[in-house]
Amino acid sequence: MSKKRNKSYIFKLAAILFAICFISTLLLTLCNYITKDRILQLKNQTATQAMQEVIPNAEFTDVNTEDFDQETKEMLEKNNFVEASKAEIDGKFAGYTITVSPQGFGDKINMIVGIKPDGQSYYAIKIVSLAETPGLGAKAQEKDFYGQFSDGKKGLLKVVKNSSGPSENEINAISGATITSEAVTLGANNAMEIVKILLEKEAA
Amino acid sequence: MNSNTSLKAFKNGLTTENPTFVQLLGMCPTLAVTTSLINAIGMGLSATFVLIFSNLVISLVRKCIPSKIRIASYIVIIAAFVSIIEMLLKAYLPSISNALGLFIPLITVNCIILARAESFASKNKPIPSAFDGLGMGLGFTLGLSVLGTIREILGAGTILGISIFGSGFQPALMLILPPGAFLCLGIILAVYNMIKDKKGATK
Amino acid sequence: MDYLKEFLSLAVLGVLVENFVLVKFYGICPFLGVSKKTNTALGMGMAVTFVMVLASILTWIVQKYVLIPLNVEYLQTLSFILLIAALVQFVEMFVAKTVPSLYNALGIYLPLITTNCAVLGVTLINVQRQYTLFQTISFSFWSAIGFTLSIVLFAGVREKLETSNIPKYLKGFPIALITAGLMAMAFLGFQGLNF
Repeated sequence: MSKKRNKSYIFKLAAILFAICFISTLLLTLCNYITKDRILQLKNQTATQAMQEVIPNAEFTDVNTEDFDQETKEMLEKNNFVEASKAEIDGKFAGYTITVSPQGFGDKINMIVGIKPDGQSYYAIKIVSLAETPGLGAKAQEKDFYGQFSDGKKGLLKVVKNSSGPSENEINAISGATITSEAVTLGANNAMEIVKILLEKEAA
Repeated sequence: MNSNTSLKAFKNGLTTENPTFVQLLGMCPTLAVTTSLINAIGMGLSATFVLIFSNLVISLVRKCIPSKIRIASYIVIIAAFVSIIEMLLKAYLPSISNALGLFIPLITVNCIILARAESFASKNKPIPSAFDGLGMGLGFTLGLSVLGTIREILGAGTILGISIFGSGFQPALMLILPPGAFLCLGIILAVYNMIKDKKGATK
Repeated sequence: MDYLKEFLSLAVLGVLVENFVLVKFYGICPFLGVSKKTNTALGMGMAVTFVMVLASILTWIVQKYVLIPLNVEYLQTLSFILLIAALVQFVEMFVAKTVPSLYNALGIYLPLITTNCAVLGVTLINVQRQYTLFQTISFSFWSAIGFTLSIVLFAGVREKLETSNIPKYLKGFPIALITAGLMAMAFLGFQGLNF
């Protein structure tokens, strides 16, 4: 094969490959155009739904933490902070939902904690995603466990094992998954600390 | 003639050339997503979608692609269909999309799809190619479903999320953990070999 | 000091906790296909390590400086796989011309790597977890080492299996899969380790 032909052959190959890429990209752009709004809408919807589950009938506004000073930001980060929303029911301040991500057994656990306006008691928690061992740590997603974080609990919580009647600051561990139980409880405590910071900011 | 080859191509994938049990292709998703039947079906059907369309398109353009760049071209075409199914799942079946996670984009490098493109679609007419894709895809779905059913029943005590043994049943957790995938598939293959052998002996 | 700590913690994560083959199921095809002999397994592992680190760096750059600024993240899968395919081709040509001895050792494995889901997998994980460039390089390096470790160990076991007395129907893949299952069980013990 002469050099000249060789060159035009390579050029032809490149052109064909480019054409295939171009058409594929065009197709994908079209598909993205069709599905993008729905995906975004679905994402927002699930986020609001999760918050609604924690504090029913409330309306939420995001708390802007960008303008906080460096020290506060570090405090938030130490408490596994992801985001915070302020809840209002019928226009009245009704507490906060705090999203935190404590380190679990497998990966980080993503969870939402609802804290009442007093900054001391819980509405409920919702586990958004986790990667714990199926059948053990993953049981944190069952109501038997997460249902414990509710009205009756107050203040910072700690994990106990097999208690028949856990007191108002105790959480019964999932059997065989102490690390997961500790992680979720830590998340709840983190949220409480975060609310303390937010309330202080609000008052100032 | 044409419908005959189509039918044969379709049957091939389900039985004699079943990708999971005979060819042992596409093992990554086979082992990873079969923790429950619904995940297995979701994965299988997504791969089927990609297989049908990539086979069809590759067969249509097979004459314009010089052999030097064929693998690269096939990969681009496959990746495009994978991205499409990824977006569609995200928009319309978010729960499946969440459960399968990274294994959706990884359909791109599923050996079954490239293998079919190379060994069938690049040599056959579009219609039989599409049927070959359908057959292979359903064969793959079948393989995944068998594994998914066994692992879900024994490992979680449920089928399609519905508890079947009552609360007293203590499921063998190991089966839905990673080692269970290897063990379960190993044993299924052994049983498959045994059945095939027995069948051959009686004939 | 921070870098060293990060590097080591990603080592534990990549090699043990999230072992690509035995825990995450990426790259099962070469794991089952190229594991009959320890030598070939080691060769495959080295080739994968090389490509995985390079691919991770390239895709990280593409993601950060092309896909995000242009707002076309939906082209991720397409562009990454194209990049990996091109990279593998390029590495093959480059190694063949410059280091023929290395090419003789690794050459036959290179084409197989394009369709190794461990490579595409690691690039997507890096992006998903929003790793920095340093984390990307360390994580992909250690994941590849984890891949190499498991494939070499597995090949070692399979070499011994060749000469042992195995029930008829378990011969070949069934016993190989069961062996892999037992190895996965051992790696399950590393779950939950973190620094």
